[in-house]
Amino acid sequence: MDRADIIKRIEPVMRDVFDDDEIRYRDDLSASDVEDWDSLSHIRLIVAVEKAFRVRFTSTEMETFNSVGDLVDAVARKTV
Amino acid sequence: MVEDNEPMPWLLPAPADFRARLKALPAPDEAALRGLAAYALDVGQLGRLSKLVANQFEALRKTSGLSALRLGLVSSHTTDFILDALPATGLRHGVLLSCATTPYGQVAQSVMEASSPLAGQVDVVLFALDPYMLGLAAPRLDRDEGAKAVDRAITMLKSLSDGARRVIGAACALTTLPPPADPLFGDLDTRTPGTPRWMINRYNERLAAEVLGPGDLLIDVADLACSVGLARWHDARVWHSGKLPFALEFTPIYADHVCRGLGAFRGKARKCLVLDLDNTLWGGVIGDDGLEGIKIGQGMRPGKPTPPSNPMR
Repeated sequence: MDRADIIKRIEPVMRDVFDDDEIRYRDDLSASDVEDWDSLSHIRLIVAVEKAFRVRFTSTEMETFNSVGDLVDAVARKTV
Repeated sequence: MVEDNEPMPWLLPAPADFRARLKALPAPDEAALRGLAAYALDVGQLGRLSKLVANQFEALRKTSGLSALRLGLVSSHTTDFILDALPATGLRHGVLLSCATTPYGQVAQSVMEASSPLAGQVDVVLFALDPYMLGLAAPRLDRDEGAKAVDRAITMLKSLSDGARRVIGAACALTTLPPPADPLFGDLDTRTPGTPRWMINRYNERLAAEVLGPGDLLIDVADLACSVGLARWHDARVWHSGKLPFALEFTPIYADHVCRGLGAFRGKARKCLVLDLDNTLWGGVIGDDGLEGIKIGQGMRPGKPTPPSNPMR
């Protein structure tokens, strides 16, 4: 799956997790940009992305996600 | 990975426009809220519905048929996600829940000190403890050490539950511990004293036999975890990254089990008579053929009624 397709599908996941219809995807979007993005919603986002793309991240991968772009890259690697 | 309603297949999958439906409910509307709660909601959807319940709590308390109940959650791990799910799930079981908690890691202070913010403020204290806090996570293979560890854990739980009853003035909702997913000695774990599985099994048995008091609730989380699969229930990634005690996707079914107990506590238990009438009163199997596909009529084969002499019908 290419990045553009992933981004298109990940945006509604983000809106659902953060309950924010205004949220827009950016590669560098991170916890510092979203008010409700705390450690728990971070896990919720990762689990929701896993479910949406039917992938599973490792603990190491989860620790290296600093932005949504990192998440998209990881999904891209797992859905080639 | 679970599907939309896979952990709770008896509930319909949440509608795609769930968020829109929720936003279209500005005024307290018990029937509409309970209708939304009847779907298999995920943890995010439950959280949003719970927020609405909190915002409309007073109005619902005064006007709805829901039974108000104040729940205190005392835990040794992260429970924010459980707290988010409980009020919405309570609707499904006829309970209007308000939840209070204390920081995790302060289990004893929460229920044994009169200055606890829970004192006199909650009807039920739910203990969400884990094997690490209870000293049952690491193997204790020296002679008698396993049994002693279980003794200490049960003694601790007795003190905590006694505090909840006497100091807090609440009933206790005690939870069994799920066995570990990863064995130490494989099939020998169950009969080898001191393995985590051996200790947890004994802890669970003794919890029910020695700690549970009259009016207390037992939430059998061990049974729940086994029913969905221990390998799926335990998620080491979320334990190590956020001290979540089980995989996030099982939050809804955990909350459902807790709220079933709380509903029963409030006398909201429901009795249901289930009759399998496939190929008896009607011909066909309604689950396979659908309402339109079954055959109804006098003498319809194979819908001929079974003689009443059949004791299994």
